[in-house]
Amino acid sequence: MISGDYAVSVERLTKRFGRFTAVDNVSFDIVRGEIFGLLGANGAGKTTTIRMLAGLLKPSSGRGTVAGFDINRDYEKIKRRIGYMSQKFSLYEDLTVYENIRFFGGVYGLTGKQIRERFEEIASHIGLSGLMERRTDGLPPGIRQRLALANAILHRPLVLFLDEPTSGVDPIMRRQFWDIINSIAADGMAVLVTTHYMDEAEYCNNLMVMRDGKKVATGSPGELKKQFHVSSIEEVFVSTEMGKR
Amino acid sequence: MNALLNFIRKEFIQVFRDRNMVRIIFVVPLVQLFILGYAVTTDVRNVDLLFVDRDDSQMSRELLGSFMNNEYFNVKALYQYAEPVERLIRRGEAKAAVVVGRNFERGLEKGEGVGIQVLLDGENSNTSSVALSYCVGYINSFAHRIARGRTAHVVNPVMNIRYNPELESVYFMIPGIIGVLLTVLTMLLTGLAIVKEKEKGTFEQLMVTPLKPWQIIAGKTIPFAVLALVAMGIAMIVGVLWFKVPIRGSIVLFVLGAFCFIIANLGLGIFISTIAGTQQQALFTSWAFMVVFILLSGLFFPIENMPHWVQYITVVNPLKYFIRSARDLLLKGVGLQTILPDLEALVIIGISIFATSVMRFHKRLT
Repeated sequence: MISGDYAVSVERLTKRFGRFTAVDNVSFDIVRGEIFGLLGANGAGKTTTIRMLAGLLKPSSGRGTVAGFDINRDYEKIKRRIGYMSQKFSLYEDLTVYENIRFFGGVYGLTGKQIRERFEEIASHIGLSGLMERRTDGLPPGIRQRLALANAILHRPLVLFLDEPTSGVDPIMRRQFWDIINSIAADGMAVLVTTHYMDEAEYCNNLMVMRDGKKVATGSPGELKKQFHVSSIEEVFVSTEMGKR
Repeated sequence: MNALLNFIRKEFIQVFRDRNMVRIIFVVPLVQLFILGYAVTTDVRNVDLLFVDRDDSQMSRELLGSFMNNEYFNVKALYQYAEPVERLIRRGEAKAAVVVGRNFERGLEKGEGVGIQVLLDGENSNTSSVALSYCVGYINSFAHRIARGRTAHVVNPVMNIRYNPELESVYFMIPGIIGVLLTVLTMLLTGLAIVKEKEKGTFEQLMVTPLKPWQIIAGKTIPFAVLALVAMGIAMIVGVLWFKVPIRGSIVLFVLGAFCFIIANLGLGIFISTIAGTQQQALFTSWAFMVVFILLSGLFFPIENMPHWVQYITVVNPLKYFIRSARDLLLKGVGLQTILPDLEALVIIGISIFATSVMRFHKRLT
């Protein structure tokens, strides 16, 4: 193990698609209980980074660990210990809430009783109670997004990957969503989240700003603002974008 | 094992929640069965036949008599004709004509050879060749009677057709329909079910779970194999009870053959899902496979009549082996010995395509 203390630790991670380099020599660490934000414009390499860490994509070079396992070798072992929520709603729309969580929970080897108990607990916490028998295609976007989150943490992963979890959700819902993420992290789960909403970046413990696959800035929101002599993360982002032109 | 059962349960819920899917699985086969059983018939019945009798003798009337009173021909006798028979056939007034020459009786009595002309409308080659064989049969049996001293007015013509004496095409068709049905339910639906998950994004969610590739493949294929066997059972029951298709061979062997055939098709379904990105692509790819399989299966056109190079292509067609073995089993009642080469071919095709598909089915992309 490169670094047992870290929930996620990557060194010189690179992904090339033909001649195009989507992620270029990126290194960072995430500790337990930390909310780590990947910030960047579309095409900056955020999703590709997450997909490599979640075992969906093979890195071209570089090394790293997730939940203590090597991302190049033990990616199937990593899968048991992570939760993943993609940009697109990816639960079965023709199934009810209960059928969905029973299926995905069952995949992780949870019993029906465990699934029910854990979901009830999460549901009461994040406002999903009483929806068990509803089909997911009939639910509003904010509810669907929270449901996908509940589904991703049902098996109590060590690391949670959220790829633009709040896209297409109204500001109040986004606010509630971040409260939930905060409480999840407080329980010790490491959270890696990508976003392009600048206000959301303020909720993260640490940030990494990416541009054209490269790391252009890193630090806590406060440190970044100090570093760039600005008063908001939005300005940090703008100056990283402008500075490179 | 539990993970697999969990997957299969989810798959069944999805299939039965989709009304169209249920219709495809249980109603379409029955519709196909009835359409192909009744409409697409290669049976030859009630063919309009002109009997042109230029001799008008006792002999010629006797020959006419042997064409009468059967379900194969509607006979219309003509004693004199104003225009050539060909023209009547071209106008569609008859599909076939038997012309007896002027010196028919005299020729027979003298022991000279007499000719009987048979004209057929060859537009539908199938119908006309069957009609021709009937005509030849009636004429031959007439000739036999003459040869025995013209005593046997009571002798009925004996048509010597084995295994499907009624030439009921539905008997011949049903094994084929079942083959097509199994192809749709296994190859097409499995391919579609996997590609649908890719399209919806749920496939990515599956890929980040600890499910192993074989569990995903088994979870996606077993439900459709089960449904296909159930649909086959329904088709067989209708075939036997309604169309009176005989089952002369072992039903166990029949199911075994279907099982081998299903494996080959499921392999193809997975293969299609690995090359198609959308349900449309999957549908078109399956369709392309199916058309070739059906045309080159011997269902409608005998493989023996195809050019040699086409016959070589049929070597890899699973539908050909299934239909051939199913027909042999149901109609001829042959044993395992006879259909073993077909089963072997199905297993070899099935295992190779399945192995290829599974190797192409990755959970992680490079």
